[in-house]
Amino acid sequence: MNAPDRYERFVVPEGTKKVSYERDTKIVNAASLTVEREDHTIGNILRMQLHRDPNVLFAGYKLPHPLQYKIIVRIHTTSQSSPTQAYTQVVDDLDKELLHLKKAFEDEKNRLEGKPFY
Amino acid sequence: MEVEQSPDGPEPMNVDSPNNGTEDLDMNVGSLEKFCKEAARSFFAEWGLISHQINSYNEFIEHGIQDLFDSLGEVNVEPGYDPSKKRGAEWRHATVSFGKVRLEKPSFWSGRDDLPEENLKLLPRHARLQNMTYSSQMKVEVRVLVYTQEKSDKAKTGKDAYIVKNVVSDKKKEIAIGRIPVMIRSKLCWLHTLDKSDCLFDSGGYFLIKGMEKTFIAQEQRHLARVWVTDKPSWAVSYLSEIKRKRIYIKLVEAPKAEGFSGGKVVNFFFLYATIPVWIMFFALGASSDKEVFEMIDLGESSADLINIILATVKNADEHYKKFREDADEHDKNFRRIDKAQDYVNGQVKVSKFPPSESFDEYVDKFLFPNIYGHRQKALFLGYMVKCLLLACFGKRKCDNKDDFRNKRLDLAGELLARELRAHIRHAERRMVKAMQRDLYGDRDLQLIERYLDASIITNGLNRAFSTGAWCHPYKRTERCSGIVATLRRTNPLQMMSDLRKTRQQVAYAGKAGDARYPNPSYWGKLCFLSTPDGENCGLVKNLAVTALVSLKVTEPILDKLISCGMEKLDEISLTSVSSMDKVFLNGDWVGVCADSSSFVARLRCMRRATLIHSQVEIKRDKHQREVRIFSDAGRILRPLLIVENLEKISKLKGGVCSFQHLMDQGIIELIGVEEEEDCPTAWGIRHLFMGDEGQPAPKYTHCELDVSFLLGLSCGIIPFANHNFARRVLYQAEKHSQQAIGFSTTNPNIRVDTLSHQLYYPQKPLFRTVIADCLGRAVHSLGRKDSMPRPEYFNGQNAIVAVNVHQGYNQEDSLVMNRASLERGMFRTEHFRSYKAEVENKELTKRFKLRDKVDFGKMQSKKGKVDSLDDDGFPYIGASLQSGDIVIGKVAESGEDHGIKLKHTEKGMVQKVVLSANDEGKNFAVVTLRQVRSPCLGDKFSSMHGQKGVVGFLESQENFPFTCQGIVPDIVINPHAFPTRQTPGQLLEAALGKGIACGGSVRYATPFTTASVDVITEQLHRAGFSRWGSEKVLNGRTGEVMRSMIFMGPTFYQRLIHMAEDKVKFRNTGPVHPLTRQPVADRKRFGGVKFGEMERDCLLAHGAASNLHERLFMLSDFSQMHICQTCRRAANVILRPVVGGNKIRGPYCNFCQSSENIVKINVPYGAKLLYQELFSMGICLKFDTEVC
Repeated sequence: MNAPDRYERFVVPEGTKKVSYERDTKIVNAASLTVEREDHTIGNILRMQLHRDPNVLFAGYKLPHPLQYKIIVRIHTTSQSSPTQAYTQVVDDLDKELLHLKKAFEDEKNRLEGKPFY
Repeated sequence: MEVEQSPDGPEPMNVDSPNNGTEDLDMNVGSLEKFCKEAARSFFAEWGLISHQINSYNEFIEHGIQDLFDSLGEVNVEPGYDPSKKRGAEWRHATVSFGKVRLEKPSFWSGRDDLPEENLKLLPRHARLQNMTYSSQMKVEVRVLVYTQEKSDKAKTGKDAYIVKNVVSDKKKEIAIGRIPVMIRSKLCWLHTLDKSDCLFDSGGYFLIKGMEKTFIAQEQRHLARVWVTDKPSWAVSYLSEIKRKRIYIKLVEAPKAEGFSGGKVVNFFFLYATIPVWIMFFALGASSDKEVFEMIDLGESSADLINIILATVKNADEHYKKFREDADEHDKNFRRIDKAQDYVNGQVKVSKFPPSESFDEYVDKFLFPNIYGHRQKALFLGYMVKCLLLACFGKRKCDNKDDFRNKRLDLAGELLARELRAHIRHAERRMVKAMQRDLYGDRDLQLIERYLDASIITNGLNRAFSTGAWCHPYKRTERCSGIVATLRRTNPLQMMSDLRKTRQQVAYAGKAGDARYPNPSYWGKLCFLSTPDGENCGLVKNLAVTALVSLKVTEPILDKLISCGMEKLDEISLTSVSSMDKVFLNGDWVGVCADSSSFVARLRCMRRATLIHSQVEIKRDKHQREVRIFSDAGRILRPLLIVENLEKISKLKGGVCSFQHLMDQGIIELIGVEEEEDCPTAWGIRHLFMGDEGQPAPKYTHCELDVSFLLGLSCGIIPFANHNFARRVLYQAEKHSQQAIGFSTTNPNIRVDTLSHQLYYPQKPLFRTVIADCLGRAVHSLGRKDSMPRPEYFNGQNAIVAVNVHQGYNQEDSLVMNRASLERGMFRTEHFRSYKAEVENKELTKRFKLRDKVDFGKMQSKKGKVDSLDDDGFPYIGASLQSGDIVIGKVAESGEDHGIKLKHTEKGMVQKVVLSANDEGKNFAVVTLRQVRSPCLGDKFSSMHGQKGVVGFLESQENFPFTCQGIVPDIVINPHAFPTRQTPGQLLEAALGKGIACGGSVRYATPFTTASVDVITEQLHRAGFSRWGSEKVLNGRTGEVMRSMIFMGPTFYQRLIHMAEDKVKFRNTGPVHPLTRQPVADRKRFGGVKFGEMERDCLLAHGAASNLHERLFMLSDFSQMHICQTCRRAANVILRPVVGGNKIRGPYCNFCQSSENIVKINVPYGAKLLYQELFSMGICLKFDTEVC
């Protein structure tokens, strides 16, 4: 009846950025990044990867409401880094990691090509 | 899939036959249980579930209706005796009597005769589509005798005056007397001969009245043909009847002390509104001495107290008789002669409130035990009643319990229709007499009888009774009672079937119910002891157990068979031998005695098993009272039981169970009634026959249940693991959720026009099985047998993978989280149909009915709503998508007025079908059906089969659910808090069992009381490679990490209930207001608001939230303003008035003060202003004090 349209879950509305940055006013080197049209799938990996960064003091994400299709990632780093820097670093790392994963998967797939499943 | 009969069935068990212990039976529990199932299957195939409705109606149309007309008797029409109209001729009298009744099959009426008969067949679907009554014409032979009376003159003939009838005319004719509704699939129905219905799930048993499906609810009535012993308010024995005059009471009363004897209790006899000492009545009925009367009462060795009562009774009789004959001689004051006693009784009866016009012999014949012939037998019965009273009074006999089902009978279609029909015939008769009287005067000729006997009175009367549900009271003529007919509900086949199997007990008012609401032990196996509605009808509306049948009246004579079994008739036996023998009662009347009741009953039972006596005859031996009671009347509940002593005959059956009748003929199964069952030690199941309790040998059972779940009703008996659940939860499922579950209701939706119907997209069968559903459904392996008939499906829902887990708090408080991906794959998707109906008058144009007013279907531009989807004929095209506010059916008057039907703001849908039809009142109408497809959304209601209902709290994406190592994701996640307080482990068992079955285990039964044990379930799961207790290690869908605890997951049968958020959602900020009060309207359909009532107001008051209150009740409700003249404190109106200078200005002006000074504007609720104006119009003027604030 008044349920939101289904495409709203994944289509970023015009005029909004995919990722927006908002600096924390109280703590230095802390910020919230709002990633539009993403959910736990991205949020969790981001958070996980951010935790691997030694410069990150705090990293967390939240899905503010199940009907608001965005996540908010909050990052607090040491003075050696900055939230944006950590974020881009993490995204790059993840990109590589996933590429590696993809490659490994495809290699395995090619290796097994034509062989029976069991 | 293979079917396993029982957990430990297959191992062969050579057991001794329980009754003689010597002969070996090559039967084992498993094969016997299999036989039971086969027998039950054949029972349902033969009897079905609604045989009681149809059989009762068939009995009525075959015999009952003829009996009804025969019992009406002659109707005498006296002339009006108006001397002004005599015209010299003799007064003419008329007598109308009814003869043979004939019922025609339902057919259309057409003015022409040339149409082939095939086209005139009125089938149920025609009646349903055309909003007609499915009825048949009743034709009765009526004989009208017109005669003049001639009184012979004693002076002329010398003989006593007598009356000679001079017959003027004697006509016999068959006329139509009215139409009687026809039960679907009864013998009158076309479908009975066709043997093919348009709906494959439809088993009939209901009526079609003006297109509505109406069914009878079986009425529990007190059994009348029985002597009732009661101790409240005083000790009394009564012989009841529907007719007040036939009721007879014998009461133990305190003798009046004033009359000079010792006092104490005496026995009095109440007959025809008169009180007679019982002793005198015995003499009036032909007793010759006190000794004989004493023997008639047959008290045997009795205590002194008892003798005292008898002595007091005799003495009291003497006193009363002396008082009666005060003026007679001393020796005349003895009533011990038949004529004197009769004189006394006559004297008492004739001075009573409604004295009978007949003589002693006649009224005794008619009103005193009318079913017993002969004064001696009546006296003996009277003696028996006195004996019952005295025995009960001294604790040697129990009082009769009116809540015991043996003292009750079910009134079904036959009895109920007869009752209503009789009332309408009487009505028509009265009208006939009045009309005929006018034409009996000399100057007029009697017209054809059809002119007087108005068939429409009966037709319309019956229709009205069915439509309004107001039925005749069984004996109070002026009262009507409700709750006898109900509209058949068709949400799913189970609901329909359980509507047809309901019984109801009428109580005068709720306080008088007494123990009627409590379950009685006599319900065992006949009525479901679990399913009864909660609330006001709790315990009064019941459901028949699944194998319960209702007996019909056995018409074949049975008396000679009783004699052949050793009964001696009462009139052939001497008084002295009566006392030493056991009494035999047939339908409550004492018909004879027998020397040895146990062998007599044994012989009778043998005859019944050998089908020499009708199988529905009930035989009860009361050892303590030394009575044998035999019943052959209608309305007893019977059920089939296995006969233990004939169990070995099963092995002789060749080729398995062929038919249930054959099993009955073989004496393997018999029908047992309530009263007979009291004497039958019945084993709970085959296994109990062979196995005693804790090592002790099995008790001597005479009968055995076919299956224990047959003790339950239909909706209860199909609940899996019902015996593991708390009874209230079982009741919720049986009475509420199963009835609201959307399923596959009919197979003919395209030829039905229900206002509302629902259909599930992919209905499924549950994984488990229950014996009842199995026996009612199709045979699993048809083995060459043709059994392709679809059966109604009693499970309505789908198998969902259910996890018991919390899900981010979105399944708190009985809500559930559903998997959006499953729903998008089509789970629980439903279709909803709503029909809109519009009628047009089909009248010819007359002077009064002008062309201008003629309304017809058509399209015109409307101000009310969009007409884009309408074709020129005024109906939307098939497939048109109509939105709320559009016109569904265009109706236009010739004058250009718009009469179209608009969709309410909550309604929309696609056009499914458009039906044009005409009803039997000659009105044309159109029905447009809109279809809506609904996938579950937030707030829709679901329920498992264990009374665990919940609404959808969140539709979660599939990836966020926990998943098992196999990648299984739950469809539904329910909260674990649903279980501890509700105590429904049945659901967990069902899930565990279902998981085992789904993973390759054998299909098992989850029948109540014979459920698979926990060990079996866990073992099955373990074999399939799962954890024994059904829980699984899962991975968190959001993080991908393994969750720390295991989660219980398994396929559970879930039902989608008809309560959906879309039908309930109500919201408004501003919207329509009531035109009179200017307050917001209430209704959801009209976009109304939610009432902020008195309690809510009190709540805000208590909080001191004055501003909020002010806003809610005033600013947002009926804000308005008023002008007040501060000088006179009256209201001032805004008027247009001239001012000096010729201008006119508009403004508030006080007409009283003739000034526009000092007028202030105040804020008042419009309601207050309205009150002011209304009072003003009545001459009361309110004055307002105003101050600035």
